[in-house]
Amino acid sequence: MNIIINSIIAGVASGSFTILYNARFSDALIAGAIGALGWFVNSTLNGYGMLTATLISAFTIGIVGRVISRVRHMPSQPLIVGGIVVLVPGFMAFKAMNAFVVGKNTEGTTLMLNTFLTAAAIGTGLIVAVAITAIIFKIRIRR
Amino acid sequence: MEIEMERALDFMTEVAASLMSYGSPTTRTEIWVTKIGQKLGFQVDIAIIYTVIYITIRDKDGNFKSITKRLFSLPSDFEKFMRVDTLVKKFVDGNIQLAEAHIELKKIINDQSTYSIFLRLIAAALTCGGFEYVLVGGTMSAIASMVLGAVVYAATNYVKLLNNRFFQQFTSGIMISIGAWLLVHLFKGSTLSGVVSGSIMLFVPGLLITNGFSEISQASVISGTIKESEAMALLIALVFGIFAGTVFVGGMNF
Repeated sequence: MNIIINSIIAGVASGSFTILYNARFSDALIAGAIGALGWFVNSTLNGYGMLTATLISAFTIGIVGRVISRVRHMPSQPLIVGGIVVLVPGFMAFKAMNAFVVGKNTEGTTLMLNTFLTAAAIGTGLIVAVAITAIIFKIRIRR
Repeated sequence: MEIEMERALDFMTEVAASLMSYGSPTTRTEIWVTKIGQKLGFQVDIAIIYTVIYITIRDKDGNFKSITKRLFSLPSDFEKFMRVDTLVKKFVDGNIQLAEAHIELKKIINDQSTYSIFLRLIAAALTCGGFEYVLVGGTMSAIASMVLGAVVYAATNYVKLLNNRFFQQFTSGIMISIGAWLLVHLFKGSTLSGVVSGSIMLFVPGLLITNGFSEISQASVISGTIKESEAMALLIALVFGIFAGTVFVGGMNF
């Protein structure tokens, strides 16, 4: 139940974030739904490790974002950016930098490494999703 | 022919600049600009390195023309990005001529339509509160984050004392730490770290870090690396701002 409530709140945060980038309201709603889905997948798979959960949720967001954008004849960027924002390791990056500033270098290094690995997992998940959807769309066009 | 090349290059440069300004990924922009050039019968070489665009077009006789364009700000605008993207698609598909497309592009660039300040502030508040709730937890901290996030967002976006992103980040950090200290006393049950954590989410360049990595892995290595460097610099400015604020309000333990 808690996961569902958190996913809805994450969806609201994602949609609102997209509004700040002047996305159309309908696109912000979809980005919010994608963000909620991403957070739900991420929370559900958290037991398998943070990086695995992030990778799979980014992949899910990428696939869903690309398919919806294809159906709506629009670029996938606004939907994916909005959806992915809840997974982005911004808070972790802040905590890492904060640790460095107060002289906790070991903690800072660990957090910074986790930040980059999380960003890498998001990037990889998205790129794999984009590549797979591109192949599928190409096959469908040939048919 | 010379004039044709000039008009084509002018259009291509404006398309590239607007797409980059409105939030298009580097690879997509390079592909679209290349397609425009090919549609007009030119061979295109393009390199976009974050805020710098280099384009060279070559005709069948070997005549060539190059341009370098520097962008100074990249305020993402998804609505305009989609409009420019649709326009380019129309042009590449042959549904619109160059002159007409150029006029349409200028119209999009000059269009000032956007959400009202009130709606933007609500969006900023919901973003901060939502992030605080899912990342840290605590209803009162989330509510305090909503208030603080909206106030700092308004201050940095509508009261621009200096058009410098690093200064904006630094001052945002100061406002967040002082504001959080004040709000913790007003919203009983909220925590200092919770309020700060939610309010900073609008200013932490997490998206830049992720986009930078995506670009590096899509062969735009220089552009991606520059984005990573910028993200780090912005993050440092924000953190130092928060620490400067704590000088006034006492220590802060995360």
